[in-house]
Amino acid sequence: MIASLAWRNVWRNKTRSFAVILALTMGLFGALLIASMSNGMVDKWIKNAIENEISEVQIHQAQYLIMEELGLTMGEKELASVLKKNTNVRSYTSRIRTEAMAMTANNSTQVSLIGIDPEEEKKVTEVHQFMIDGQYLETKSKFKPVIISERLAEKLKVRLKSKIIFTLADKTGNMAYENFKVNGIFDTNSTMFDDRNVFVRKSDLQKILKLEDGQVHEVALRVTSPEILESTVNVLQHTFPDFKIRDWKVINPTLSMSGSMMTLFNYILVGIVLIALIFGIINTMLMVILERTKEIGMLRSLGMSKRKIAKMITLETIFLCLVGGVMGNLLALGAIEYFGSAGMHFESFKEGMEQFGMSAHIYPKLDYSFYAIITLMVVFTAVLSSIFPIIRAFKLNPALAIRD
Amino acid sequence: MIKLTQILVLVCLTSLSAFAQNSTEIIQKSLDKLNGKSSQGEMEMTIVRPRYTRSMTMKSWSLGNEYFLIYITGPARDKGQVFLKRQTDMWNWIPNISRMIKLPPSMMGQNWMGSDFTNDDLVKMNSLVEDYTHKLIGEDQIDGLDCYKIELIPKPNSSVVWGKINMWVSKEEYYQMKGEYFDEDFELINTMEASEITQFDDRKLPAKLVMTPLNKPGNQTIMLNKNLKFSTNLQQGFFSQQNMKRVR
Amino acid sequence: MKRKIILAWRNLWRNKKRTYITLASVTFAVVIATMMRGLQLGTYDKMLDDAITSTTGHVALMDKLYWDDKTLLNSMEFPPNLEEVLRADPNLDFWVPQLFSGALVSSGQHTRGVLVQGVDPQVQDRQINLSEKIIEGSYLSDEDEAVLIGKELSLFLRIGVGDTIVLLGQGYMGVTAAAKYPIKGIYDHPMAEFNKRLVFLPLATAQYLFFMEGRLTNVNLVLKDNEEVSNTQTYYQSKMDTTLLEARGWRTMNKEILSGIESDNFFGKIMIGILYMVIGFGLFGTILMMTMERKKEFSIMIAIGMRRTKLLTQVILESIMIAGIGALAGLIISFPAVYFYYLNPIPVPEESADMYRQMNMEPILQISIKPGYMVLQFAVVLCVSIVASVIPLNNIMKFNIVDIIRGRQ
Repeated sequence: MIASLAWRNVWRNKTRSFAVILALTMGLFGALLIASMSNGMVDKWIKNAIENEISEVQIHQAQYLIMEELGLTMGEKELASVLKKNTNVRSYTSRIRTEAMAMTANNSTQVSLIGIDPEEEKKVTEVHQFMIDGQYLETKSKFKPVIISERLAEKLKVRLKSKIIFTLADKTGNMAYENFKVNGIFDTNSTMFDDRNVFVRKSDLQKILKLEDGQVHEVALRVTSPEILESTVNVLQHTFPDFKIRDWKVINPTLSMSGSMMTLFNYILVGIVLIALIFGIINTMLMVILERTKEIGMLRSLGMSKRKIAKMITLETIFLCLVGGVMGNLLALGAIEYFGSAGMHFESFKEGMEQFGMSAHIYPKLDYSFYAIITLMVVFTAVLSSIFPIIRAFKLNPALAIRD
Repeated sequence: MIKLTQILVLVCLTSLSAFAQNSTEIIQKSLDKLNGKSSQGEMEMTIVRPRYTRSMTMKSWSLGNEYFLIYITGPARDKGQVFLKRQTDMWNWIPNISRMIKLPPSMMGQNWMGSDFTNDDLVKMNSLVEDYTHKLIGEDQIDGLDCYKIELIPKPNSSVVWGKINMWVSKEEYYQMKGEYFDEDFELINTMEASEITQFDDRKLPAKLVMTPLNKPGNQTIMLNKNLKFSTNLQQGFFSQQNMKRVR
Repeated sequence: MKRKIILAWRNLWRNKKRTYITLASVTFAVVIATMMRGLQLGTYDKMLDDAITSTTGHVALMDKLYWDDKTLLNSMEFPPNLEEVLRADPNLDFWVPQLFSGALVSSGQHTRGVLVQGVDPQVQDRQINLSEKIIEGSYLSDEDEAVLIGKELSLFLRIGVGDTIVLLGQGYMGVTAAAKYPIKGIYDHPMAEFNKRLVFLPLATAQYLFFMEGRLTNVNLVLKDNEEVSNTQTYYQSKMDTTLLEARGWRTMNKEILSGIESDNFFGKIMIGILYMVIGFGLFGTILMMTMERKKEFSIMIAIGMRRTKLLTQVILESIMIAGIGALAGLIISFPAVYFYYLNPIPVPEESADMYRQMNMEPILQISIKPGYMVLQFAVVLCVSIVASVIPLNNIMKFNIVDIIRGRQ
């Protein structure tokens, strides 16, 4: 009964209600959209980093991480036998890496030379999706293929089919000079990654470094779902006490911290918008009370309890806010779903964002739980805003109110 | 010393194939002229920069293409330093800290003693004969001498940074009078010019060699051979780390 | 006109309750907009300032060729008169003389390429709080012929405090730079890459090592106020030999940071836009109701012969007044509030604080106290509230007074 009364009350003065509803709708819509954009940005950033660069888990010889000596390898077979059986491991790949000097007639620069198994690597990282010219490491040519980033290609002044000579030390410390042909050029969203990393075939690099068959420096793997990440790391660490097993949160703490920071920041944003709205809602409800002085007085003298009147006012506020809240949520949902697949493009900030490994193409994204929590926050705001008008209403003298 | 010059010059350059008989032979002859089996000498290297010019003096010993040893005699700050190259590796003996340092790959891109040669240029064993195919593309006069102009194209598998080299070899005495070094797009990167033909030991050779990087205006490295002996009795054992600490 | 104003003023206070509600809305709007924008701008400024202070400085003095080709060949001779000029410059917070060069560090069998930075220990400490990051041994002093290395580098070289390392590189004019130094301290910077690759030694020692006596690669100037950048640039250009040297502004040295902050600021602007919108609608609702409430009053005024246009100007005057007073009150309240948060900045939650420290930033949310943006918030809210109060007034030109007086509408 009271609920329907409150509902009808909302629509008694449409202009006024619409002003509040519109404010809520637009406010929430905007806040949610921004939240989803920053969310999408950070999400993509983390996803990029995991998919292109660090994977979810990396395994190294414990000493290798500090000493970076070529001899500190791991046996591929030993690892593979365990990883294959572990159902939590979706895919894995092994790599050989070393520091090298890349040289052309025009320039020379230091790079990380990473030997990969192209087929296996594709199941773990996505660099092959970022090829802008040429091919990944598949080639029929008799020359050793290398793929480098567009930025490095510009620095060394090379293009497809150009030769690059790498100067590096093999396992015994002897200097080696090896020429590779540029087989493909990639451009990921991360400047730092692009400036440093150069990929060749594992088999080629293994021969150059004089490593034994099946010896690798790094194993990267992806897990079947984020939930079992931690337990998988623990299990593997237990199996291989001599190796250091690290998940992406340990490898790049900045990434995981930004993720949690962004969520917090989104709630703060919505909070600020709601605080700004509280004033409008309180004002409107106060006016409602003032306008209905007579009516409330009448209800009181007819014997309606203070409780019920309070309930009525609270419900009216909640309804008012919910209409706005739901509309805002729906609008935002629509926009986020749309842009979530179409993407939003901010070409003018490309440089700045890629510097931080972020993409200038944003795909807004928001957990559905966020909408639910926001709706709860709206209801809470409504209850909060109704306190003052209720106090106001109780101060009215019913007798005076009717006579007035 | 000439050896060094030759290596420096030619480090940048390298060798020939059995085809193109004629031009390959010319290059081979020019190398024989320059090389000898072993050599010993003194030279002065002048590094020209837009802001300063600096000269260094040094002694050198070499054996074939694979071994050399350089002892810096001046200026004072650098005196006593020794560089040893054995095949693809290079060591540096620094007396004031009594340390022997093997140059790591990360230092290979650095300029050798601040000159226009990189450490890599010194170490690399590219052979003008074996790593290139040769073609006679014309004749020219350099410094008053009639020269063959030979084009050197690196063989596909060789670890040569250049895309092409043009080399001028004098017809009579097979002096390498001029070299032009191009990148893979055939853009000119360095030139090397020889002059001042002088009598050294049993043969005549250009004493002066000027290397000019074209992408760095105002930069030049000039090598001047002061004294050169060929067919010395140097053995591989001379080019050792122990000897680095002893040579004067 | 004066009479109209007096009349409007009196009118305002006839219905105090209504006036107070409206005033409060506008005041609140200004305060919240100011706080939010202040935090945004303050944070950007702080981020930028921290980033600039710990890296290039606001202005850097260097050889004209150095920026594009960072070799000792392009280092600068420190002009003798410059030190006096630097000391006398009231705009400077501090200045950082630097000598930067790549080198090899080696100990026993282990060798790695690093960046060597010759520094004035006190100044460096001020710049990146290096002394607090020492985990073993002690910090450098001016005359030391010793180095500081990072934790990871010490592990790699398998050495500790008191052990000797060899530095080998190329000095000015290609001179071989080689020397042995004892390790005086080991630092642990939150960024591992830093620990692996950066070796510090006192400036004079570095100058000797690299054959750079009387020379520096660059002098970074950290200003007290980042608005003074272009003045400072001009000032130093006039004091130096500009055929050789230049005073470079931070913008050209930190393009990526700048672009990152611009993109962030873009989001910040959208956010503040949303806030204005929310505030605008709130005000609109309130003021709309106020006007509606007065329909009867207006109708009577019209009925007794007041021209509608005159009434309209009267009411607009009231609206402007109320918005003006509210916004002004908001501005006045904002000042101490902003100042309070300026003095007592809000700390960043602990789990994110490390990330700030990693980036050499203080983990606080800094609020800006530049008056410019506050006045802007005042102006924006004033405009929004005037618009919000004027729109409902077009009713005055339309409504049917008879209906209203009789209470039919």
